[in-house]
Amino acid sequence: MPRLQSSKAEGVTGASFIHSKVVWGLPVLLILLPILYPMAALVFGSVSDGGPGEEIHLTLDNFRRVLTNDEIPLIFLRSMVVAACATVAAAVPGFLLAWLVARTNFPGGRLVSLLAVASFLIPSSLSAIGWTILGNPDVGLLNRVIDAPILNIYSYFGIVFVLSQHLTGFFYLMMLAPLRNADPSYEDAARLAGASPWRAFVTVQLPLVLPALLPTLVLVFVRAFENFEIPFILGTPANIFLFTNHIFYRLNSMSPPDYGYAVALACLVTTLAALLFWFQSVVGSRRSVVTISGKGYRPRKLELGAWTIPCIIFLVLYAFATTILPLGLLLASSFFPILGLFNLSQFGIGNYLRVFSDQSVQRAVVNTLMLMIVCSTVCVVLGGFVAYVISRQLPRFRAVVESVATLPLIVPGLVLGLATLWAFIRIPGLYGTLYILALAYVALGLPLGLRAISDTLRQVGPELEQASRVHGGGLWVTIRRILVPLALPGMVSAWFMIAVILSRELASSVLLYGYGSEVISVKLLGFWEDGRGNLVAVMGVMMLVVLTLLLLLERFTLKLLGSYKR
Amino acid sequence: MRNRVHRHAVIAILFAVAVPFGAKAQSTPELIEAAKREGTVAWYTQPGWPDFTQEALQEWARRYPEISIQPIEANGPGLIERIRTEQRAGRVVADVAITADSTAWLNNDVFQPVDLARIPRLDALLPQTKSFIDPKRQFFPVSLYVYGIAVNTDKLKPEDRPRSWRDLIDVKYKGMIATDDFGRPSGGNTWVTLGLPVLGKEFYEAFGKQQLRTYGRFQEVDAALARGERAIEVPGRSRIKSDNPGAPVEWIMPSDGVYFQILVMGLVKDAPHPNAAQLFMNFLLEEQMQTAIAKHDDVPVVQGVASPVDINQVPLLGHGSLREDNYRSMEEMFKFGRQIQGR
Repeated sequence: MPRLQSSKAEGVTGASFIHSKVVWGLPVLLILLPILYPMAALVFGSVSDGGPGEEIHLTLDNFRRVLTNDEIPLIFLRSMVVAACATVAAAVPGFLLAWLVARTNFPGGRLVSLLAVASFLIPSSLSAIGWTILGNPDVGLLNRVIDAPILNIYSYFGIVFVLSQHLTGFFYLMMLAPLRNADPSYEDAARLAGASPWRAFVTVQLPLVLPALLPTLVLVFVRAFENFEIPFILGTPANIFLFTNHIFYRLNSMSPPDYGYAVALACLVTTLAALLFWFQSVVGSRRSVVTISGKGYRPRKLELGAWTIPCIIFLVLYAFATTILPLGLLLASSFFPILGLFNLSQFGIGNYLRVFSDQSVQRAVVNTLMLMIVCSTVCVVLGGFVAYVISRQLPRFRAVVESVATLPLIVPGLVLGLATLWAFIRIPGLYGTLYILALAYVALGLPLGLRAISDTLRQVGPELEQASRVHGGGLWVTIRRILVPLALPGMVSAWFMIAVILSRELASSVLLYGYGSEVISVKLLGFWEDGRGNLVAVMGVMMLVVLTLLLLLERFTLKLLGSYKR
Repeated sequence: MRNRVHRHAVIAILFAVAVPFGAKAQSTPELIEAAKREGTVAWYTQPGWPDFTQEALQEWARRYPEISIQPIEANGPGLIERIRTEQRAGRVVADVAITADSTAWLNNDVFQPVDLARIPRLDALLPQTKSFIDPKRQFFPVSLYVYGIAVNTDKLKPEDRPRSWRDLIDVKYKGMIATDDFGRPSGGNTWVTLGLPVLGKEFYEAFGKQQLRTYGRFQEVDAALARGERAIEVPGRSRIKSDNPGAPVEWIMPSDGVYFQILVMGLVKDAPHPNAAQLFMNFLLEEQMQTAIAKHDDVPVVQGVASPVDINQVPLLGHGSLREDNYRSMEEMFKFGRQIQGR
């Protein structure tokens, strides 16, 4: 990673050097506090014999129970295999779709964005429920239409299939900006030298986006690993138990919950995942991937030619299978009293009346919107600041800071909520309020903001900032007039991505909410636990509306910025 | 150690005789005034009771418009843990809590004793349900629900439906049965625990070979049964039909015995609105609310309200509440439950 040479060029003394580290490092440390403190509480909990807020004694008995549990190796292996398969199954279509939109003249760009993000926005629980209607081996619509049990959604295949759908949109979003911003002149040079389009892609373009691709793969893998809803809904009926179900039982099936065991297991898994992230960040940092430079360029789109029709067919089939079909059934189910039972004589809007007249749902909608807007903004601003510091001022600490900041993404949501609870339970007036939810949401969203903006900044060459300095621009002017405009599309995309993720955050919310601080995901879970799948369907439709509004707003914003290309 | 309930006592409980009940047992004016000054009550309740909850909220709002009510739903262990967390955080929101998981209550110091005079409707309890009042006066019965077998009537003709627990191990029902999770506190685990001395280990081992499909909570199993994913739900609650209006489901009382679960309510320790809470507890025992409970096919616990379920003709396996075991000693039964379900 190229470093700014200004400090050496100006002959900075040792004291000033340390001073600059403190000046930049201290705010970064403070920003990372919502992450560091709960993580510390998590580690503390793993060696405690009690629960959050209780008087405890230190013990290693939790780790002993985890390591001597003979179920653990098999559970771990199953979880890893499922996550790996889901990652590959998400990465292939996700990357292909991002490349089609960013680098070619593919005509369905808007539709791709909408569908990819839709598959990502829909809570994984809703995807799983939608597919139980379709793929139930006994009464699934798909099996009934074909009149043969071709699909059993209660299986490893079913879990991987639904997980990958859920993650494809995330992969697409993470890769769109890097692919869009890459300078095509490198590829042109390869083509001029005689490389075929495929070879130019593999040997030139792919390595250029590798520093964004690797961490995305790792992130997707971890999100697949720590997903709870899909294994719970699709795995339990088939006696398939993965890591997250296992933790769920320990927290939810005993009184008092087995906190110590759950956090000890989470600590072990988090440590392994952290090593994975550290490894990929080391690999990524060895490559210079400046593709936005001081040279002017116009991103050029590849002409698909004869491949246009096959790509369109692929998109239509993919959209139908992964989004239109399950979402369509979800929408249809919202008009019937029993999920999956489409008795035309019972068609009506009773479910909608019931949901919208529920005051707790009204509160949940307002709370969710407030948390989304505030926390996303905080995450982008603070994440952007940290990204700038670690890419420009303290590059030596980038790997460490990114690893620390990524911790909330690799800790299972259930355990992240528990960590937040453990950390803040003693602070008067916090538990059960929107404030503790906001803390958990910022901890969750900050790594995403940091990652997205960090990737964008990595592609900005130092010569632009040096040019600003040469012309007398100070630090603030350079940031405001050079870096921010260049990074703004990435920041806007990061804002919307974080807003999407926070709008459906469940695992932490269910542990931290109280009366008056309910959010949509918690109400959705409540309806599901009530056996009211019909009302779950209404909540799903509501979330689809929110998604559509978010996407329209994103497009409008990017257009205003003048950076949205069809 | 399980509490045992004598059969003749249960018969009297569950086939409530319409004995004229003289005293109105209204809350005292002082309690009502104190509750109004508090202005609100937080009601923590179990999920799976939506229609009754709505009815209770509407009637309460009509009767006590000055006292708002905040219902919050959570399952048994989750409900207890939420209250404990509030207490540790010093921010108790819960006033009154209702759950069927009274076993958890016996092991958690989250409730406070109540002056019985402040809940005068306790005098209206059927004599045998009075024995369900906790000796420490911390929790009180609200209703009972009965467990048997539920079926999807579209998938099984009347002549093909099981009539007893022992019918379930017939090979013709292989691949047709859905259950909740026997490996955790659940109606299913209670069925295993109470049925083991009567039906025997071999029965449950044979039952485990019927290609069972396991879901999480009973509400999920109800929904799966209603959709027709499976033809039989074990165990099924007597109120499955009223909880799933329009669904092709029916409840069957097994000829070799039933069991029930007691729904109990208690005043939370450090409750911010204790007077409103006790007024609400009394309200739930009033004839109108108990009639609403009966309308939803649960069994009322007060005199003067007819029970929708007559189990006079079958043996009783027992009841799943008020046990002194805590979950760690029940781990053996959870493990057996998981073995039955192939885990």
